[in-house]
Parts: sequence; C-alpha cells; structure tokens
Amino acid sequence: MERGELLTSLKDIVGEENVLSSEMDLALYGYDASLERGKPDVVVLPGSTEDVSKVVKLAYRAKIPVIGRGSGTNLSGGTVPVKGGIVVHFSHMNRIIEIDIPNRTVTVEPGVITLDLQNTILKKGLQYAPDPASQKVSTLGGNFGENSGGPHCLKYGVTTNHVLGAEVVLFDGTVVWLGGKSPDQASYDITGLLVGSEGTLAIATKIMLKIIPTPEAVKTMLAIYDSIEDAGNTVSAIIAEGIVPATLEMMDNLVLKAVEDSVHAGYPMDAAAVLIIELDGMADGMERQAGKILEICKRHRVRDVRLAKSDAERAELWAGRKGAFGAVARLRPSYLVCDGTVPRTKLPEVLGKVIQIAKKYDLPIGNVFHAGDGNLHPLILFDERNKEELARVHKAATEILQICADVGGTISGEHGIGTEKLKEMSFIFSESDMHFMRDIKSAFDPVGIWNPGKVIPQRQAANA
Amino acid sequence: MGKIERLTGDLASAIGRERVKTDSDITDRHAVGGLAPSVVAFPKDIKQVKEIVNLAVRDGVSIVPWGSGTKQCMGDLPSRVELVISTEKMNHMLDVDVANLTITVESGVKFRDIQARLATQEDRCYLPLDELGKETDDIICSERTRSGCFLPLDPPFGDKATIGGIIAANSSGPRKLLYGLPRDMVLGVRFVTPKGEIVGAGGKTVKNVSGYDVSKLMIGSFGTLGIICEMTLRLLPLPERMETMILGFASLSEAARFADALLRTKLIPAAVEIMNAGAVDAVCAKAGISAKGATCNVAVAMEGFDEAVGRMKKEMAAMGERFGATARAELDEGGHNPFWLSFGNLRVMDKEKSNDILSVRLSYPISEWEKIYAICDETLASEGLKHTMVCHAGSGVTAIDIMPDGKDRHDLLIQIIASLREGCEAKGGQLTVECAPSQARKSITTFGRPGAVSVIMERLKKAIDPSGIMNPGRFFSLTQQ
Amino acid sequence: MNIAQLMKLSYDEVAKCNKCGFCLPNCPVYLAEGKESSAPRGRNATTRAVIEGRLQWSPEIEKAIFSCLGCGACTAACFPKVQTKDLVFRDRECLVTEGLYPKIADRVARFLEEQHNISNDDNEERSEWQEMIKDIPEEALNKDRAEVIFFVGCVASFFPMAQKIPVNMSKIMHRAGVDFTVLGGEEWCCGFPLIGAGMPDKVKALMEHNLAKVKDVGAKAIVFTCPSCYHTWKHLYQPEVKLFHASQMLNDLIRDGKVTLKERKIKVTYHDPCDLGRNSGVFEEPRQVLKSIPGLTLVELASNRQLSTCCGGGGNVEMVNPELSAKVAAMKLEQIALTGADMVVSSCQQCLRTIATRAKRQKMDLVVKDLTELVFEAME
Repeated sequence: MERGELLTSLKDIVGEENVLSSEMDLALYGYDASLERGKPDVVVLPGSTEDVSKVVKLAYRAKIPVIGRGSGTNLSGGTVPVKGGIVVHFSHMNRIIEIDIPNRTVTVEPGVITLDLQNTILKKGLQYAPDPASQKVSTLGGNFGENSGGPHCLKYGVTTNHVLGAEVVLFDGTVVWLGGKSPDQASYDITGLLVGSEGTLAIATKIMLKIIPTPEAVKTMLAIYDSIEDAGNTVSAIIAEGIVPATLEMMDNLVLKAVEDSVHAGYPMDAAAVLIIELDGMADGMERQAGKILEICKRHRVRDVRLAKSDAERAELWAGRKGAFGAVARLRPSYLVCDGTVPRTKLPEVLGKVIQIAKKYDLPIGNVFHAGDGNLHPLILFDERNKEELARVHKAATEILQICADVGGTISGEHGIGTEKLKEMSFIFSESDMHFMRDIKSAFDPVGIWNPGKVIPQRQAANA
Repeated sequence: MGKIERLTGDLASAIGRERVKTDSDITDRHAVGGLAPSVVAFPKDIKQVKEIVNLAVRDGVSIVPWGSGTKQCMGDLPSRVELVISTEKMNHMLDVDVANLTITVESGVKFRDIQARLATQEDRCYLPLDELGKETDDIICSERTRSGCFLPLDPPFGDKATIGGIIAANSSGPRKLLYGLPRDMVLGVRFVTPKGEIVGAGGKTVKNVSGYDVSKLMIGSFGTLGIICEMTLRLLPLPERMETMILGFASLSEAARFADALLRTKLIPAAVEIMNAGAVDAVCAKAGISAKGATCNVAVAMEGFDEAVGRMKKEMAAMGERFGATARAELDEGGHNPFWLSFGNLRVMDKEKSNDILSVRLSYPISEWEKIYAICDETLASEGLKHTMVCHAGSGVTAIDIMPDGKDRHDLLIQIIASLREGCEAKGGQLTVECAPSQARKSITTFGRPGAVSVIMERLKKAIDPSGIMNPGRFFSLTQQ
Repeated sequence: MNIAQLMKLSYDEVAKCNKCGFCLPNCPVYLAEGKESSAPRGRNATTRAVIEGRLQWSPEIEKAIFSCLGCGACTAACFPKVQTKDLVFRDRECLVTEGLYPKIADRVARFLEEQHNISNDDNEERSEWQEMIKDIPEEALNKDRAEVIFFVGCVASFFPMAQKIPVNMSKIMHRAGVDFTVLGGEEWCCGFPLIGAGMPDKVKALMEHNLAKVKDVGAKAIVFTCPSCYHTWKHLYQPEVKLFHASQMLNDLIRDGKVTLKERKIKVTYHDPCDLGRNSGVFEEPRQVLKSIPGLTLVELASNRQLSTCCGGGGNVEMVNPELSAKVAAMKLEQIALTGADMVVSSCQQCLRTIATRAKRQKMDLVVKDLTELVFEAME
C-alpha cells in the first residue's frame, strides 16, 4: 500500500487529528524507556475497539506491522517499532469501564494508568495488587503486554495472576472476549498466554482485572545494613522461617545515595544496603511476625531497623524505592537496567559476581531489587553519548544475564525480552523451546503483523 | 505385520520390553469411555516419552496421556484411543528446594507424596498422613524434608491423583479462595510436544517473563497439546494453625447471608464451602467426624497464624449466632485435614452409591452463587433426585453429583443438564459435565458452547498438533480426526 | 540562538532525561492531548534530536514547543530533575531565530516596545483601576517616594476581571498603614511574556526602566500580586531591594497584628499558581493566610504544592493555542469539583481569569477569588 493511501485510510478510521505522521512524531514514537530506537511509519490514536479493529484489518491486508503502546515506559524495547509499521497509542482509550464490587472485578481500557485505577478503587476499600515501580505512569495495557511485576508481587503474584479476561483484536481484526467474570472455566488459558506476550500475538482493547480487599493492617520496616551480604542473607532467612512478607526490597549504597538526594525520605546515606520489609494482612499475629523479623535481622548484624510510623512515612519510603531508576541519572546521564532473576538463595553469590563485572568493565553498577523473589535490577550507569562506553555496557549486561541463567535463573523477571534480550534467549531456551513458541506465534499471527522483531529470535540459519 | 504390532515392537526396542504392555488386563484398565487402547507404555523419563511420541507420529497413532486415571471421565470422549502413555514410572522428585519454596517433580508423582515429603519435623502435613497410611496399599513417600512447607493446592482425589493429571486438568479445590489456582502455582513445565520434541518453559522463579508463558497454555489443556512430564511448583510455608468450622442453617438464604457477610469482613478464610446435607454427611462419615448436616451448611477452613485463626473462630462463632446457625462443629487440625481430604473424595463416595452417577461442575461470576445454588437445588429436588452439592462461595464454582437410583432415567438427566446449563449460561457461566453414564454421555455436550475463543483454540491445536494425534477430540472436540 | 549555542547550553541537561516517562501523567498538556509531542519527555527528545542533527526545526516542532505551559510540573515529578521548561524556552529562542514561531508574539513584542504593556493601551491607563477606589485619596496611592512599590502588572491593570486585585491589595495595605506607591504609567511590563515567547533579549530595555524607577522612588521593597512578575524580578532582575509576593506580605501583616480577620464559615480549596508555588517556592504563606481566617476550612486539591496542576494559563499558551488552554482549565475544574469546596482561592490574576472564564463557559457554579479579595472581605 502506498504511504498516501495508508494515511488516508487511517484518517478515515480514526480522524485526521488522530493520525500522526510528521518526522517529529515518527522520531518521538521511536523510543521507550530502554536504549533501543526505531521508527514507525505512522502513529494512530484510536478512540474505541472498533477503531483498533479497523486499523488491524487494514494492516493485515497491507501486511504492515502493528505495535501497541501505552506510556512507553518499557525497559526492553518492547514498544520500539524496529521494522516500521503502525504504532497504536492508547492514550485516548483510558476509561475505567466498570467497577463490579460484588464480583470483585474491574474492566478498563488499555490506556488507563495503573495508579489511577488503584486510587479509584482504594476509595472503595479494594485494591489491585500488582504495583510496578512505574505504576504512576505505566498503563494497564502495557502491564498486560509485559506481565509487569512490582514489590508486592512477592506475596500477591504478578499481573497475570490478576487478569481475569480481555477483549482482544486478532490478526484479521476480529474482536473476541477471552475469559471473564466466571473464573476457572474450561478452556485453553489464552488469556494467560497473551499476558506477557509483548503485543506479538494480539492486542488487548479491554482488560478485566481481579480486585481484592485492602489488608486490615500494614507494617513497613526499613532495615539498615553495613554489609550487603548480611542484607542478602537476611532475605533468605526470613523466608526460611516461614514468613512470606508482602515485600522484601533491597537497595545498595550507590542507589541509596542517589535516591536520598532526590526524595529525602530519610534513608541512611552511609549504609551498605537497606531492606524494605512490609507485612500485611490481618492485624492478629502481625506484631509477633515483626518481632521475628527483627530477630532475624539482628542475627544478621543489622545496624538498625526503623518502623514507618505513619502512612506518610510509609509513602516516603516507597516513593524513594519507586523512583530509584530515575534517581541514578543524577550520577550519570544514562542507565541500563538488567532484569535477571535467580532463586532467592543464589542472591549473595550473584551479587558478588555483579560487583566483579563492574570492576572488569570499569562501570558503576548500582543494585536495587525485589530481593524476596530473586529479581535483580543491576543498574549500569554511563553516558549513552560515549559509544565506547556503551559497547562495554552491553557486554557487561550480557555477562550478568549469563550468570543469572547459569545459577538456574532467568534473563527477565518482569521487564520483558523486547529487542534488548533477544540474543540472550538462547541462554535459557533450546532451539526446540523456541520452535514451539514460533508455532504459537504462527497460530496468532499468520502474516507477521504483530510487533515484529520481538521476544523470539529469528530461526537460526542452520535450522531454517 | 499390522501397524500396532510394528509400533509395539519398535517401542519395546526403544524403551525396553518391560515398559510396553499389550496384556488385556492392563489395556482394559486404561480404557477411556469404554475404548481400550492397544498398547500402554510406561516410560521412565521425558526422553523416553519423546521416543514414544516420535514413533506414534511416524505411524499416525493417537496418544492418551494417563496419570492415575482419576479424571479420565472428564472431557469429551477421544475419537481414537490407540496408545496410552502412563506416567506411573515417572515418579521422581527432581529438586526439592524448600529454601527457595519450589519443588520440581515428574508428572507421575502423586500429590499426596509431595505433601508428605514437605511435612514438618513433627509430621505436620497438609494432608492427614496417619489416615493415608492406614488406607492406601501403596507406599506414601516416607522421606521427609522436615521443612514445614506445602503445595498450596487441594484438588479432588488428593490421595490418588498425580500432579501431572492435576495440572493437565487444571484441577482445584475449595482452598483456591486463599491460595489461587494451578495457574498461580506452576512456575515451569517440561513436556513432549505432539511433534515429538522436548520443550521447556518457565523456570524456578516466581517472576519470569522470558518468552511466552507456555506453562499457562499447558495447564488445563487435557493432554491435547503435549504430555507434561516435569514441572516446577511454588510452595508456601505450612500454616501455623489449621482449623475448620462447620455451621448448619435451616435455609439457603440464611447460610448465604452468613457466607456473604463473612466474605465482606477483613477475615481471611482459606475456604468457604456451602454444602447440602448429603454432602456434609458423606464427608463427615468418611472422615470419622460426628457432625450431621443441616439443610444448608457452611464449612469454613481457617489457615494461618495462630492469632488470626483464633480471631476468625471467635468472630465466626458470633456471626453464626447472629445469622441463625442451628448447629456448629469445630474441627482442630486432626479433624481439619481428614475433612478436606474426604471433601475432595466426595465423588468417589457418591460413585460407590450409584453406578450411573452424573457429575457436573458449574462456574459463574462469583456474586451469582446463591442464585445458581438455588436453581440447582430446586431443579433436582423437584425431580426427587438424590444428589450432593458443594459450592465454593467466593470462587464461583459449584459441583454436583447426581445419583440416579437405578431406574432408567437418562432422558430426565439429559433434560436436567440442559436446564441447569441454560440457567448457568444465563448468568454468564459455564456448565461442564465431568462424569456421566456412558449411554447418557453420547447425548450430552461436555463443555457447552465454546464461544468465540474456539477459533483461537482450533488454530493453536492445528499449529501445535498438525497430525492430530494428541488426545484427539478430547477437549471441545478439537481436531476430531 | 543557533544549534551550536543550544548544544552548549542544553545538551548535558537533556542527556539526563532517560525517558522513564514519569513526567507524562504530571503534564497537563500531555493529559489533554495524549500525544508524545505534548509530553515533557517528547519535548526533551525533540531537543536532543535537533541537537544531534536527527531532526530539523519544523512547523510541527514549532507547534509542539509552543504548546508547553512552562508550568514546571514535569521537573517536580522528575527524579534527575531535568529542567524541561528551561530547555523548551531555549528551543523557542532557536525557533524565533528560524522564523518558526506564532506571529502573534510579534504583536506582543511591538506592544511592549511601543506601549510597554501587553494590551496595546496607552500606558497611562494603568491607573484605571484606581477609579474603583472611593475612600482612599489619589495621592495616597501615587507618591513620589515610598517604602514599598506595589508592582501591579499588566493583566491586573488592563483586564477588568482582574482589576479587583490591585483594588483590594491597595485597600488592605492602606488600612494596615503600609507606606506604598504604585508606578502608574511609569510601570512597564516586566518582560515575562517575552521570555516565554523566545525573545528574552527584548526584556533588557523594560528591565532597565523598571529598575531605574525603583531607585527614583527609593523603595526598600516591592510587592507583587502577579506571581509571574514576582518570578521574573526574583530570577532575572535580582534587584537589591526586598521582593514580596502579596501572599507573603499579607501573612506578615496578619502575623504582626496589622490586619485582623473576622470569622468566615466557608470551605475553600487553594490553587497553587505555578510561578508562585513550584517556580518560586512560595507554598505555605498563602495557606497560612487562609488558615488565619477564623472558621475557614482549607481542603487541599489532590495535586497540590510541588505537584499542583497548571490552570491552563501559563507559557503564553492561552494566546497561542486557546483551545488547549481551555482543555487544561477544564481538567483543573474537575479537580476542584472533587474537593467539594465552596470556593477556589488562588493568588494570581492569570489563574483567576483562566479558571473563572472556563467555569463560566461550562456554566459551572464556582466561586473563584484571589487571596487579596478574600482577605479584604474578612477585614470588613
């Protein structure tokens, strides 16, 4: 299809003002929060499922890629159009369609911002559990596509554990509802397959999520350590004692300092590491659990344990944690965040190796991570404008992921594969594993329109 | 030499003669809906499964995967039953990593053996170990980690089912209210595809977004997309205290008011079950509990910290009085464990009472449970059909066993299923027939309307199993060849 | 300004933006339009792409860069604190050099050059509002020498809707015994509109005139009811005299017992003007003043202080893109409605105008008052 014809057809569908095609717009939809960069052919801002269906039908006929986008906070290049195509930006589809309290569900359009939903339902004494650090800006469509995690996923599970169903547009523009308010129906779990598929199988236009009552009591503690090993060992020890807190987060000194400079939450600047430990649930027995945790921390030479005394203090501790990525840009302009995940007990070993890699490549690496579920986020700091440094960064990142894979972990816990980690897929998957994924892909995407160049590497030449 | 003879010979040389059986007592034991396979293979590991599947692909022979057979009555009848692959010999626990709260097992491992392996120093366990020890003729896992963990699932047939079967059938029980479904527990799987390849997905970590979430696709696919051979599951620390309270009410509406009020408190019960009198009596009798069922009963499982369970008991007792409970039984851990194991075996007990048992499972939006319960109760009572009925209030599932009294009433049963299905679908739900007398089976649709999603399911099945050999026709009659 | 100069001034700052997107939900323009080019991250990326030669200045960039309200909410939400407003204003300078800018700005520049005010009226008309004051002799407002200069600002001088502000402020100061004067026709625009228009070099003449006047009057302090004049004096003029925003002076007068307030049983919410709050750091004084009114209940907006949402009146957008300005104002009204307050109070004539005008257009029953008006009423 000629460009002019494509633009005209798209304008007929979504209206002229919702089709963006200037050089500026194409440059601005070529990035996300990762270091990857691409360029779409055109951007559309649909207002309804019908718009999306028509756009997809057109793309299918013309064999043009379609890439969904929410707030573009992806950390692995998932929203970067590497092979051109139509970027579908959901900023106008941001309505909360239904809050069904008796059935404990909400139905939203994909452009709804995660925290906006949370704030809306908190007023009704309910909550949506997944809380990605970017919840203030990330959209639920993006959370769906990436299977986002967050600190509270230690206890409550990740996005996929909270998605009940979705209205999706298939490759030919057909609209179907998957799942729904009746939980646990006999069917292939297509919803489960689509969550985290990074827009490579279909595109969601409505999402139904599970909401749960807010806990009766919450206790948030900040444990301060003079040694990062002690902090790491505390994490395993708490779980080994039979306690699964709501969160178990860790930050090292480098990150702590940057965060404290930015938000002034009262983090100790000289500590080697801190843990943010949160308990929630029924009030009964919580005091005793907190006491047990304190004891475990002491056994691991904690310097001090502080208890958040008010909601405001708790909010401050979390604001610091959730802004950690952004805050490190105070130290160097760019960062690359690795997302390797390992069995929890391997954390101290892997951390030691990360420190060695920092030395080997002469790069500052900060560590902030979901310690409770073994999800590391080493932040490699650098200046993207220095190409030589950038090359070292990529090498260091790959090496970190190799270490995670070697100890029985995986290359991405919550940020996705995107384009960034395609080459590392072979660290954990065999060619037959990937072949099976390609079979799935072929069932959903016979002509290859969905977010091409993501998740599954191209078949190796020898097997082609 | 026929196709099957050749296959049998090749299987024997591939995996060992002793692992390939054609004896009729064995093939008959592995019949599905009256169709006995020609061959049953007992591979020892995933590699052997791969070899078997490759031979089956070569010969175009259909495959039925088999665990302990507890759920073979579920699903549509397969269109062909030629080769059964039994996971019986694949019963190894590959990695019991209690420090990381994960366990990796082969699919033939029995559910009860996993729980036994995880028991505490004092043999506290999520199942009644003593009782199982008395009852079963095969050996319960005697090796203990002394870890005090458990696998947070409570599917039916907890004493017999294999973990592979539980996962393949997406089987769950009352305590999913607190812990979730199999999809929330499975971290990774390794399986053999219908093309004969070994494929792994997921891993040992709770968070994992590397590649597609293939594990989700395999859960509840009834063996139509491959044979699950190994899986990694999420564990939790065993609750400090586990108890049950059963409250009897004179009517459904009183029981419902109690249950709904309970679900609106900040209390966190593990299960809230609505049970009719027949269900309570059967379960209690089996578990050796003296309680007697009222017209409508609410059984609540409480699992958690000592103080939390204590408070739940206290508040629920008071609530029970407020809402007019006529009876209350309290079970400590010694009663709690047998009660819920026996609860999962309700169908086994009901089967003993009637050869023609008809079991259905209804799932629907959770707020509709009382209406669904009432529709079912009225419909069955008006026909005077003996039945047990249990409803997971708060999880949107009701399971009914209808026990016809021996007279030929298939027409009536078919009519009743149709009417219940209509009632359930009107509320946005789904009715699945899980067990039916073979004559009635032919006239009853197992799953009801598959809906728009069947387009995708069909496309997936074709892409993954192009020759249609894996449990053909079993699930929504997909790829019936 | 050319690209080489832009690179020198902006490249390191813009490189700090790591595209995390946390600014998006804080930017009223992004929320109104939903396009990346309207988002602070998009503006940063545009600046960077131009510096790196990946994009050329274009009419689309002009439109995008001139639709920034300059409210600074993005920086408040930004962890590395990228100064997007400054980057945008520098981009505007380049765009002006390229001839890519809203031509209405030329008219404003001409008005300021010829008449020294934004409404192209005879500058002597600046005193028009004084006619609304009956009980203070004219000489009391127009002295040759005084302790304090009351810098009224263009909007409050010429727009009828805002003229109440200097009227009330003068009455309050007069009653409190403050020795003050206004400059009348000798007050020239502070130049703030030129900074937002990408023509900061044209501010110089205005600034020199105004600073000379301060010397003539021998004032030790200047008080502003306009946050933008206050901000411009504070950050650009930097004179050696004390600068007060009206809310600060009112707070002092109340504290010192020179102004006493009677009971008002009302529920109000307070809107932080961007140039007063976030951009000048004055958050608490206006709230202190409100709390000094007995019986008054202050309910905060969901987004307040550092994260306050712009009324839509900032950054010359009202002039360049009134439709966008109206959309942002409508969002502000939604937030105000959620507080359930009887009245919204601000301390900025521009916020007052934007909010009141939008409320009127939407037929929303909302009382909008400047802090000076509320205080004066409470003194009655």
